[in-house]
Formats: sequence, C-alpha cells, structure tokens
Amino acid sequence: MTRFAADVIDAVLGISEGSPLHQLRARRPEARARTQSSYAVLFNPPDPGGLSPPERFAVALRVAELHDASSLAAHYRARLADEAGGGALAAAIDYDAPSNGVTPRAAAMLRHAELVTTNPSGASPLDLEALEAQGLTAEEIVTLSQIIAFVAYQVRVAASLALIAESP
Amino acid sequence: MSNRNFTTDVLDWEAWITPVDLSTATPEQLVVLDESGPHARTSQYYHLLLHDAPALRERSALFNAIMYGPGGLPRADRELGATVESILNGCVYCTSVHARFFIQLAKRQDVIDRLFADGVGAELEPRQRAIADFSAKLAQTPPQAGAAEIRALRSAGLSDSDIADLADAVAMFAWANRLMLTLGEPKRA
Repeated sequence: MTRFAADVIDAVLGISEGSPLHQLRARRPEARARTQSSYAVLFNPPDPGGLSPPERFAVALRVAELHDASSLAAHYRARLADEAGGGALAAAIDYDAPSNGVTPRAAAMLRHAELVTTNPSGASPLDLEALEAQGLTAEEIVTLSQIIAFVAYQVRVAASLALIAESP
Repeated sequence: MSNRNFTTDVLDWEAWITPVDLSTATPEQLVVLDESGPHARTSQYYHLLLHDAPALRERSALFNAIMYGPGGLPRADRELGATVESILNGCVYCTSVHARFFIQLAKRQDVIDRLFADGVGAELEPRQRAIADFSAKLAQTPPQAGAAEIRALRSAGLSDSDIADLADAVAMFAWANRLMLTLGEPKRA
C-alpha cells in the first residue's frame, strides 16, 4: 500500500527501516525529506486551484509509463483510481493512444507530458499556446510542468537506488 | 543538437508565458524567491516558477541540498554529471551554467572543451569517463544505466553513497532541463 505512504520512494522500492538503502538515504536527510515534500505539494496541495487531483495523477501516470517505471506507474494509477472519475481516466490512458476517450483538455495535458518527457528540446511557444487554448492559465501550466519534470526526477532516483542495491 | 550551440558564456533566459510581476507578488512569494538562490530576484525563470510558490520552495531546497550539500561526492563531480545530462538533453542554458561551475571547481577547462567538441562520449580520464557514462545512461528516457555503469564507478573509487549523490544530481537535472527547455529559451546576455 503506497498511496498514503510517509515516503513514496521507500514505499515503491520496499525500503524498510535499517536496510542498506534506508541507511544510504539517511545520509542525505534533506534530499530525502524535500523529495517527499515536493511530491506532497504537487499531489496533495492544500489548494489545487484549477488543476484537479485526477488531472495531476493522470499526467504523473503517463510520465511514469513513458519511463517504463512500473512501480511508480502502479502508485499513480492507484492514486488516480481513488479519485472521483479517476477510474475511467486511468482506463483511457493506454500506452499507445492516451488521448482516446478523454476530454480535449486532458488530451492536451497528456500530449504535453509526452513531449516534455521524451523530447524536451523539441518544445516551442506553440506547445504552451496549445495548453492555453484548452483554458490552462500560466499558473496551471507551471504546475503541470513541475509535475511532469518532478516525475522524471523521481523515476531516476528510484531506478538508481534499485540499481545500487542490485549490483553486486 | 549541434555541439556548436554550447557555450560557457553567461546567458539570459526568457519565459514563453508571463512570469509573476514582482511589484504585485505577495510577501510569501518574495520569501520563496529569496530562499531559491542569490540570483532568483533577477531571473525570469524563478519569476515564472513563482506561479506555484509552494512547489518552487520545495524544488529549490531540494536542488540546493543535492548540488551544494556538504561531504560525499565532490561538487565538481556532481556538476560534471549535470553538465553531461544537460548537453545530452540539448539544454544550452543549463549547460552554460553548470559547465562554468565545473570549471571553477575542478580547474579543468579541457574537460568541457572536449565535451563540447566531441560530445558526451569524448575521451576523458577513467574516473570522469565513468561519471559521464553513468550520467548519460541515467538521463535517457527510460533510464538505461545498469550494472556495468555501477561497476565502472566503483572501479573508479566511488562508494555507494558517492554513486547515490551522483544519481541525485542527474535526477535533479532531468527535472531542471525539462523546465528550462519547455517554458522558455536562452538569450544572449
């Protein structure tokens, strides 16, 4: 059960108190704590504003899937499914055609998530205009971008910890 | 992405959407801005990210812990990892800043010259080669770093905690490069 974990990276990797990876992370308490608090402000914000919780989790799920990060994808899929209407959105986020069966606004956000994840140097002002055309404000575009980029960070932290533990 | 685009010159960065106007920013937003770093008051990048001040506050604290935290992997090595990834992702602005930091810390202009001329696969000393290989592989989407890159880092003398420090720096620049590349663009200062 990772969805309300005290530390999401520990939860998805199954890191328990006193294990070698727990000790490794404990060397950098500020990095560990701020990784979790970054997650918290992006996914459990006191005021989500115009970017709804299901939209946030759907985007994170898409980014995790594009990274083949199955444990984190499962985490975001579970959090999305907990939201009202999230189950249908989770079902629509198919790996190959995530835009099918979702609103134009959600499709635009998922397309942007793919661009920022897989080809960030290919972005242009037109890509932000496409989001604005779906009604996203500057505030929402910044938060959306932070969510996409944060998951790119989180995937790499988790992958490298697992790799260190697995490599003899 | 042509190697010729990369530079260690000081660049500006311009946002593609309207940043927060500091004359109308809340006191809390200004506190977050000042916590973010010494140049945040004059940087359009930080003014833009201030649209989500709670997220910026956590991101800046995390960035500073990973890149400037005491002990562990030498800071020059963290900057090398950040620079290699920034080159690979085509982030001209991030590359300019972190290549300068690497040169200041390591006193090795030649390493950056090689990376700019020959790309991230340039011929380097074994320790720097191992750091560059791991960084380039972890930067891929999906990440491609594996046991071979870990072995090479250990052979070069890095402990597991050094490797975790390097991985954190590379992960942080997966984040930073994406914001810099998709919300605005570098300009000549």
